[in-house]
Amino acid sequence: MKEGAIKVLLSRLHLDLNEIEFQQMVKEFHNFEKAESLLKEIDTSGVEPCFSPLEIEIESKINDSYHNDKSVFINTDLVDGYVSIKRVLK
Amino acid sequence: MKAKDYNENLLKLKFEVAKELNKKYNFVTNFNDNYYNDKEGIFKNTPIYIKDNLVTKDIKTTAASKFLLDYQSPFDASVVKYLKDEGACIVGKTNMDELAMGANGKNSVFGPCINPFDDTRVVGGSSSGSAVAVALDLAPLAIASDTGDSIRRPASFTNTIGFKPSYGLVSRFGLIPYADSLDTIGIIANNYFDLRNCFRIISKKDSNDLSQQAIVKKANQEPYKFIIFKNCYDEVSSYIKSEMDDLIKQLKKKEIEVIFKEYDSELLKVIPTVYYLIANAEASSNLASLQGVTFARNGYDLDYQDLIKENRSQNLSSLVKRRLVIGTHSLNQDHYSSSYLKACKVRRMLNNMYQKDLDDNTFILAPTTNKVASYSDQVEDDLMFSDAVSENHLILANFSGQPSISIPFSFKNKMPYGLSLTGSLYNDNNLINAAEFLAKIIGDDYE
Repeated sequence: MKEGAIKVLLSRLHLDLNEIEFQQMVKEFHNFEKAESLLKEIDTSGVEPCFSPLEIEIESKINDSYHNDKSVFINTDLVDGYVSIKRVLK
Repeated sequence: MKAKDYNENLLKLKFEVAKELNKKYNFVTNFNDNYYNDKEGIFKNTPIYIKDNLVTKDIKTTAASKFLLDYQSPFDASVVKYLKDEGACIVGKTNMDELAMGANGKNSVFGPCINPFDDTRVVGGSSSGSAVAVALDLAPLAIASDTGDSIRRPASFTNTIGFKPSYGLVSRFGLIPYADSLDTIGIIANNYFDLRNCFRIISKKDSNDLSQQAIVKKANQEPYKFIIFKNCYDEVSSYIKSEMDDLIKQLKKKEIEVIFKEYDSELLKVIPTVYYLIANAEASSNLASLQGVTFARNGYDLDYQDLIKENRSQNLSSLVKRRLVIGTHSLNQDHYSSSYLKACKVRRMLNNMYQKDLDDNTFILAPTTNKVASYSDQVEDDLMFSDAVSENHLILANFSGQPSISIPFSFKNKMPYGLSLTGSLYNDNNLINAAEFLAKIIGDDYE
């Protein structure tokens, strides 16, 4: 099953792996599963995600503009030195 | 040697010595033979090295990746421009882990960087070459970047000062991004005077980086208060703990308030997991630009999709490929909530925990690393780290954006190790002052 998922991802990413790299990737998927299950044990109910240390400042500015609309949160994304601010509806 | 000690002759001499030493220590990817800068300023005649993930128009920028071996930027990163405007001579680009992804300084297309204190041990990464250039006294300053601990770890292993400013204070325009919510440009230095000047210059407002915040706080006066990170203190090697005890005694003798604080150990255990999910997700997004079209090296005659496949498969290391795949996987619809989003929520919990109790004069104190640099043949770069808090605590300052500095602390069998201080957000000037205050107590040569 992991092998299948890896092959799909490799196709999407236009990436080839040799046999050793492929086996390393299978092992990495085990690490990924462990990571997911480790975080599952932590109760994050009611916790807002933190996408960036800057979001507090940016969020407050944007919230002012949107009349404190709490349904909006911000993700900052640096692309070639420029930041785009994306509004995402929860 | 400080910036003010340099003149044209010394600059030339240091440059020639650096070229010789590079044959042994492999700390430079490309030298700049046309380094001389006739502009006047506080860094006139001062050699400064730049990590090879910051673009420069006079020197190739490779990020130590096969993918970018031929890349020549048409412009300078803002921090490079600011330093050149002050007369600095950019003498070379420093070796690093490929695309800043590594903790040992071994994963470079140019080969590993060698530790000047013991050539069988790692330098630490990813800013390995910048740390070595300063440690060898070939420059008073080197510019580097820090996503998890990439400035502070090599500084600890090379007896240099490694400073990661608050997130958003230094323009990142011209930095090849790794994980943009964590990436910070900082400084490796051999003295506090030049460190302060360099920080003041590179933190200038830059309209090219909209993520930059121009609200660094002014320094105020002592007294300082230090919080000892007890979880780290309990874990480190006995020789480091013994030095910590001596320092604490000296601080108390000077009537400086020192308290031990134990943080939630269950939460601290997941630092590497949160980093793994966030950093790889962001890296996979940032590395999407490495498709071989803009920066092609192979397969010019192939069609678009094969061109991408050829370039990515041939020019990225196995480690970077794993990051790409895992990062993309964690952003998949099926895993987004349980991996990336969940990690961002835990990140907020860690930030709230770590920032609590801090004010302008209170700093968290911990050994930078839990032991001296490891032997090169005993460490391999991996995506997932061990869950030892004393190995991972530096990442907390990247999660929250807080300023953090590693200063020379002591030696074990002639190998150096550092002491880490972390302050409240945008309180960078006070942090540097507190670091210098501690350095005087420790009694190093870095006043």
